Amino acid sequence: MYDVSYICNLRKNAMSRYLVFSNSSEYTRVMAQNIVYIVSAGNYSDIYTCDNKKYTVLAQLGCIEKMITHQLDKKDQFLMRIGKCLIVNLLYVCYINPNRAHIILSDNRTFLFDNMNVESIKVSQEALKVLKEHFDNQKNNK
Amino acid sequence: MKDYDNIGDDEIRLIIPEGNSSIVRKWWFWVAVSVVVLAVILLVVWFNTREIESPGLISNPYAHLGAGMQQKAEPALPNIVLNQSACAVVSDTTINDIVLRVYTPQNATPELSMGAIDTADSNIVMAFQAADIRADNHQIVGDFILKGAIVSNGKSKKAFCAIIDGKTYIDNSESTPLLDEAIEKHGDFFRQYPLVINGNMCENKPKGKSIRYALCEKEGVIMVVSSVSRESFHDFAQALADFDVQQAIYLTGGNSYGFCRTEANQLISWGDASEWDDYAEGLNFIVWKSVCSGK
Repeated sequence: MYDVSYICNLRKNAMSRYLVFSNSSEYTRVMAQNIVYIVSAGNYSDIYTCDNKKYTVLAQLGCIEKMITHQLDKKDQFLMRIGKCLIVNLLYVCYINPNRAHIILSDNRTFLFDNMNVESIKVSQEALKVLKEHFDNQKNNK
Repeated sequence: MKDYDNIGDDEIRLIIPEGNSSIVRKWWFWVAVSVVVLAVILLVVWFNTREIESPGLISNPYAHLGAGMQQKAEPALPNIVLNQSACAVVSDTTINDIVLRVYTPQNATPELSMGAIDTADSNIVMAFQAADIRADNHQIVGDFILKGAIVSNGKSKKAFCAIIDGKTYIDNSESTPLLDEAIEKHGDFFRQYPLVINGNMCENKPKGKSIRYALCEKEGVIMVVSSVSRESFHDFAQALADFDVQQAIYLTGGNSYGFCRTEANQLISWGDASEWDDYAEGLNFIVWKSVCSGK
């Protein structure tokens, strides 16, 4: 569907860096590479990781995007904000169908998040169309 | 400031990290730090070098005499204190466990004299034996100029004191134009061992311990400093350097004779004058006379 070398490069460049969320009562540290997607839940955000775990942190999605910007390295360009409510890890995007607003995030081995089955992943058709174009452009740029 | 919530439902945005915000991870930060540290080190070295080279040196009026010629030492002027009579201010200080006695003349100018001195001469504020005398022929060791007259020649001791036109120069040089200037201008000149030159202690060959005397310049003031107890050359010179003396040359030590008049007009003398007759030929002193004496 899209250029594998783009994902390979993303994976190669992605180092074992962590996103750290800490407040007075909790400390959460997640390896950025292992985040599958992050979904907004009001003032909270739910972080879904590739070990099928969910971590809820007290931060709005914009705040998390800012933390990603500040905590990760320039090479870690594998997280994408999609609309107001979602951040996905491009490393795990394995299926996009904009017409059906369908996206599947999976490592094809241990986990699979399908927005047809998982209610939390809400993506507009238009956003998925732009996402598909993004991958297509990467392929063409190659 | 970027608004991270400014995104529509139909939009996507690749999150591009700015890199670790910690400034210490940036290579240019360390380059800048290195450059600053290097600059500071160079400045410190430059200032220290300048401080070492500057004292005792002025712009060289003798440059035309040749590149190998030593520069002229900066003169020290008499310590003039208004509304006070001529006297010697005596104080003790302890440096490195060595008690130093400091004789600072006030309202008095130095000059050399030969022969026995009269302690009854109230114009003399203080007197110390200056150049060493050889035991075999009773001649003065090294160059000795008295009021422009050559009394003795020799450079076995490299440091010198020149007194020209009321200004006192102390430095360390085998070849100095001040010797000729002292002759021309009827000044005084004698040689001794260097103890401290430009703030740095000098090593000397003579060993053993003795009462030590030194003609010193400290912060532009000429003074005599003696040890109260018997000290080695090394320890005495080190104590003078630690006392922040800029220039110091030795004066005849041991049992040499000398005296001073204090602020209370009290005459204090030390040493042994009984051998003066034996050394009458070369007996010499550096004396400070009252500026009002009309010498």
